[in-house]
Amino acid sequence: MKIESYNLEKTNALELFNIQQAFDNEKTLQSLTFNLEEGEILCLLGPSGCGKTTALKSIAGLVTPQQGQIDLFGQTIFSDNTTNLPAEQRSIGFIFQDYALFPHMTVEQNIAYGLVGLKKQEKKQRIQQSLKLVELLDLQYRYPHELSGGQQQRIAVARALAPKPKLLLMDEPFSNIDGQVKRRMMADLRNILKSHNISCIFVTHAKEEAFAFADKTAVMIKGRIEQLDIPAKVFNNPVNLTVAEFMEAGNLASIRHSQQVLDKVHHQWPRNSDHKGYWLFKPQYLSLNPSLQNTGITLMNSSYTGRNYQHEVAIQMNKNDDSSIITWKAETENPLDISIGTNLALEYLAQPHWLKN
Amino acid sequence: MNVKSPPSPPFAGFLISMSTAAICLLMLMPVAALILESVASFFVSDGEFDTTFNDLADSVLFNYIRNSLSVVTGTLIFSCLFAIAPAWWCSHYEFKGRQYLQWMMIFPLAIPAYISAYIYTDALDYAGPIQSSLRHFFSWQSPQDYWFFDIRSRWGASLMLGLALYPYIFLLLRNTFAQASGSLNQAAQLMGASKRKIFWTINLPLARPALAIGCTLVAMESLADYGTVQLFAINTLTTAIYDSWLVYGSLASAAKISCLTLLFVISLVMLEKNSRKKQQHFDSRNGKPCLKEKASKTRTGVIWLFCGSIFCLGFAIPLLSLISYCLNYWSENLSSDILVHSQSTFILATTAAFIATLLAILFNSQQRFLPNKINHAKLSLSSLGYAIPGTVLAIGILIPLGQLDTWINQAIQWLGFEKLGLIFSGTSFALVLAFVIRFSAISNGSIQAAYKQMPLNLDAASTMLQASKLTTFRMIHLPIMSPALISAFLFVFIECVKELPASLLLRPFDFETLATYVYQFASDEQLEHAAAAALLIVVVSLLPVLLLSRSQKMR
Repeated sequence: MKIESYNLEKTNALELFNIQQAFDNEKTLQSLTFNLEEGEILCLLGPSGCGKTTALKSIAGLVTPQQGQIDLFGQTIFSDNTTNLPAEQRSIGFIFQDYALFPHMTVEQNIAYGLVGLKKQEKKQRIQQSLKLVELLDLQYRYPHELSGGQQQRIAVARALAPKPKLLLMDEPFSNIDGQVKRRMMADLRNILKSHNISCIFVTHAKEEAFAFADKTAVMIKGRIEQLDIPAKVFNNPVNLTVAEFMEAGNLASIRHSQQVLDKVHHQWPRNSDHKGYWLFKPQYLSLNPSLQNTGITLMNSSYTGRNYQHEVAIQMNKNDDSSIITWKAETENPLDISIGTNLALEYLAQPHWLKN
Repeated sequence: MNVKSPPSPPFAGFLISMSTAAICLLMLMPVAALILESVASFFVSDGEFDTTFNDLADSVLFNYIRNSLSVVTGTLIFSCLFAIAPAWWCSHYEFKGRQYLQWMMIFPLAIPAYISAYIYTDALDYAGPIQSSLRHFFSWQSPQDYWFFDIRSRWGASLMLGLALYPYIFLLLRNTFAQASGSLNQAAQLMGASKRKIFWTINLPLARPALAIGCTLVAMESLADYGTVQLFAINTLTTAIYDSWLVYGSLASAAKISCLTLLFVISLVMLEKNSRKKQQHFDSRNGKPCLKEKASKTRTGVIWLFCGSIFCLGFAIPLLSLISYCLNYWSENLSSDILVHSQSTFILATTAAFIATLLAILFNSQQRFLPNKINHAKLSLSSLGYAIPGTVLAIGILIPLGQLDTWINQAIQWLGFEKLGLIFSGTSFALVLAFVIRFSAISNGSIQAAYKQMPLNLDAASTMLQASKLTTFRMIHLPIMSPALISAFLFVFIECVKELPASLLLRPFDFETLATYVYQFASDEQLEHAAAAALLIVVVSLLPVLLLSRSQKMR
C-alpha cells in the first residue's frame, strides 16, 4: 500500500516500500510503506517496542532491513541485497534521544565534526550560522556538561543541521525536556525546520508531541503503520480499534455490548450495522443529567484537568450483575452540580464513530 | 554538501580479524603446550621415560597438594577475617576518619607477601627481637620453656598472604554493601529484626556473589604464590613446578604438575562462575542506598583498633621496617646494581605494558565495531592468561619457545653456520610474552570498562556525521578513553614490576628484575641489602592503590 501525498506539487523527500525487519524471529517492521514530502514533518507515533526507532535507524542506515526499498530524493539508498548506501554517505542528520554530544569536545568542535572537507573560514562561518539558527552563539566554547538540557538539545540540532542534510531524523527528541521548555523548544524547532524547508521524521510515544510538532502522524503498532494522516484526523477519526485505543480517542462499545449499553444512551444510532466492530463515543459529546429513575448509570468520580472537567460514569448493563459494569469517561467545560453516586441519564450529542474490528 | 570521508576498506577489517585470531592462538599456546607435553611424555620409549613425575607422585606430590590447599584455605580464612567486618563498618557506619580508614585498608596491596614474610620472620623468629625480649623478660632459657607462634609454617604463610590479599575482598564487599538498597534494611527493621540479624540474614547473603569473586581472586593468587611459600620452605605445587624444572631438569614433569595446578584454577573459576549465575537475582542495587548510621564512640574505637591493627600489620610495619633497613644499611643499598636492575625492569615493564594496552585496544575496539560471538570469544580468550599462575605460564612458554630455538639452531647448523643459542626462550622476549599473556586481562578490563561507559549513540552520531570507523575511533573513542588507556598501561606496568614466579623461571642469564633481585636477597636472608629496591617496588605498587582509591570515589 502506498499512501497518497497531500500536495501533488511537492517532491517526495523519502519513500519507503515494504520495509521488513525481524529480530530473533520476531517481526519489528512489517511491510513499512510511506512517503514524506519535501519540507514535511512526519511523526512516527506508537507505544514502546512498536518498532519506530528501528524504522528510523533503518532509514538512517544504522540498521539494515531484511527487505524493501528506501529512496531519498529519488536516489535508492537501500534495496534488498542490491543497494545499501553506508550511513555515513546518506546525508541524513540524526538527533538522538540522549543527544549523543561528544563529551570531550566543545560546542564548536561538536558542530565542526561533521563539516569535513570545508575550508577553515567556511567551516567557521557554517558553525556561526548553525549556532545563530539555534540562538546559542555565545556558547560555542562550552562543553556539553556545562549546558542545560534544552541547550544540549539545541546544540544537537545545530550539529545535525550544520552539514546541510537532505533529511533530519529525531529519536524521541523531547523526552528529556519538561513542561514549558519543551513547548518552547518544539515551537522553535518547528520554525527552524519550516523556514529552511527541511524534511523531518521524528519518533515519539507522546501524542501531545505529535499534535504540536508534526504535519502528519503515522500511528505504528507492532511494526505496522495502522494510520497515517494529519494529527487531528488520526485523533478524531481513528481507522480501527487499535488506533482508537492507543490514541485514547474515547469510549468504546462493542456490538455485543451495544444492545445493553447504547439503549441507555439517548441517541439515534445505526443499530442494524452487520459489521463486526466498535462504536466510539467522544467524552466531550456525552451529556450527563441527573435522573430520578434507576437508569443503571451512576456518577463515580469528577476531577478538574486544568482545561475542563472529567467525569467517570459506571454503566451497569445487566440489573443485579455487578460484573457487567463498564466505565465511561465524559468531559464538561463547567463543573457538574451532581454528587457522586447520583443516578444519571446519558445523552450523546454527536454521531458516534464506527470502528472496524 | 561536504566531502565524504572514505569508509573503512573491507580488507582492513579482514586483516584485523585475522591478526586478532593469530594473537589469540599465541596467547593460548602455553596451555596447549603444557597439555601436549604432558600427554606426549606418556608415549616416549621406555629408555627415555622421564620418571621424575612418577617419583614425585609416589612420594611427595600428595603432600604438595595438601600444602597448597592448606595455604589457600588458610589465606581465605585470614582474608575474610580481615576484610568482611571492616568492609561492613566502612560502608554502614559514619565515624571519625572513615574516609581515611577505607583508603588505608587497601594500602597492604602494595606490599608483596614475600617482603612481609621476610620482615615478620626476622621479627618473630627465635633469634628475633620479640622472642629475645620475651625470654629476657620472663627469664626463659630455651624454646622448651614456652610456646610461640611458628611463622615458618602453613599458617604463617597463610597469614602473610592473607595480609597482602584481603584488600580484594574488602574492596568488592565494601562496594556491594554501600550500593545495597536501604529499603531492604528498613523493611527488615520494621519486621522486628535486630541489626545483627539484618547483617547475617540480609546484607551478607546479598553480598555472596561479591564475596565469591573476591575469594576466588584471593584463592588464585595464593595458589600461584611462589615467594612466600619458598621462603618458609613449604613445598606446594608452584615450588614443585620450579624444582622439577630448575633442580631436576624435567620439563615434562613440570608440565604435568602445571596441568594439575591448572585443574585447580579451572575448578576455582567454575565455582566463581556458578556463584555469579545468581548475581542477577541477588542484585540489590535497586532503590537508594541506606544512609550511614552514626557510630558510637565505643564502636568507633573498636573499628579503629581492629582496622588500624590490620593496617599496621599489612602496611605500616613492613614499610617502616624497609625504611629502617635502608637507613641502617645505606651503604649496601647504594649499590649501582639497583640502578641497572631498575632500568632493565623499567624497559621490560614498559614494553609489556605497551603491547598489552595495544592488544586491549585492538580486541575491544573490534568487539565495539563488530559485536559478534567470535569477537567476544577472542576478547575473553585474550584475558585467559590472568588465571594461569606465573610458574605454570612460564613452563607453558618455555616448552614451545625452547623447541623453536632448537629448530632454528638445527636449521642454522644445517646451513653451515654456528649455533645462535637461545633466541626466544633465553632472552627478554620470553619474559615480555609471559607478562603480556598474564596481564592482558588487566588492560582489557580497563578498556572494556571505558567502552561500557561510552554510549553506543556516540558511534552512531559520528557515523551520521559522515565519519568512517577509523575517524570515529581516532576522534571519539581514543580521546574519551584516554584516562582508561593510561590506567591500563600503569596497572600492567606495575604488575610487571611486581611479578616474581614467571620472572624467576624465564629471566635470561645474568638478568634481574627488581622483584627477582629483592627475592634473591630475601631468600639469602639479606633483604636489608636490597631494602631500597624493595621500597621502590612498594612505592611503584602504591600508584594503582591511589588510582583505585580515586576511581572508587570513596565517600
